[in-house]
Amino acid sequence: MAGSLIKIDEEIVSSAVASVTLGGSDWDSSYDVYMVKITNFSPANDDVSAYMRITKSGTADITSNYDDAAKQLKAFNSFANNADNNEDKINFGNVGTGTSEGVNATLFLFNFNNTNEYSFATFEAAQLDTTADFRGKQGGFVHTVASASDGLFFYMASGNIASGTFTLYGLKK
Amino acid sequence: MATNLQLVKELNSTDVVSVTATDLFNTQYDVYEVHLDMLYNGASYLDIQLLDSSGNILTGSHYDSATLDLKVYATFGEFRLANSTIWRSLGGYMTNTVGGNIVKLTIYNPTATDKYTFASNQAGSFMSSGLFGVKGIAAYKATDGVYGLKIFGSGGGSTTFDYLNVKCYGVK
Repeated sequence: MAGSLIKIDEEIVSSAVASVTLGGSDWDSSYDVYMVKITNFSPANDDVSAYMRITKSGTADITSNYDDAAKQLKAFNSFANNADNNEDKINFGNVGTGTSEGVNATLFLFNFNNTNEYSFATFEAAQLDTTADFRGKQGGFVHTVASASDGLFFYMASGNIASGTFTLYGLKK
Repeated sequence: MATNLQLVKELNSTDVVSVTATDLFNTQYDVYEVHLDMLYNGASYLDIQLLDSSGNILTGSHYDSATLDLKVYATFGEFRLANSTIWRSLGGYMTNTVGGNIVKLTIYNPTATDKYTFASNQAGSFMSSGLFGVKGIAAYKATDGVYGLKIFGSGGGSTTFDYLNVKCYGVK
């Protein structure tokens, strides 16, 4: 196991940027399964949603073909079911500018190099929301277009990304 | 080609009431994968407390956790704690069956002193009633810097783990 995780790309945001593309021109198509680690994905503006799309040929796919389902876990309140069909993005939820109010997450990506099937992912995310309450998600999503994908695109509902580390790994066969 | 999943520490214990695993985390990595494998001789939740760089337990009320309990024998349940002094139920519930109990924890930012520590987890426990799975999250909402874990049963007392094995990997 310890010999099977290979870093492909890493993007570190230390000064504000509008978006981050992980993979894209750096994508390595020689793996079947990929892992993504995200730490401290935080906004420049307070109380905005943290969004993600997949990329096709290095460009974020903005079509309404994202389906996701997750259990939203909260330390402070009852859990909730999140289920969305035909969205144009994946929403991690609202985050802010307070201490540690950002997304930390792990994703596994499946079928991204397959031109004949949909692209799938699982995710688990843990974050402080805009009121510093702790919540997160355990779930997955699918992009219902039968074509190859080559990365992930991160952005905020408004304003810039203030910080974050985004790392892409391949799981060696 | 160099691997990016690197074993930091392995600790195997037998016939212990708790395990204090120091020096699991250091400043070389931002993200860790921790695997636990155990068999407990009683009925308890699995509890975790965090350790500072000197191996002392971080005792402040900064622990949040939320787990979805996936039971094969009953309706799924929610377990949540806010502003607690422990992370509870990240490994589900244990009832002294031969099946044992396994946990995978992903820990984010443990040693950072400008960010809180976060975790997500998956676990499986084989109860006397059947499988008890867990999907969860946890946070330590303080910036003390976290370097290890204390792992124990919620019931306390002298009840022991037959074995409790810890493997910690840094994700480079």
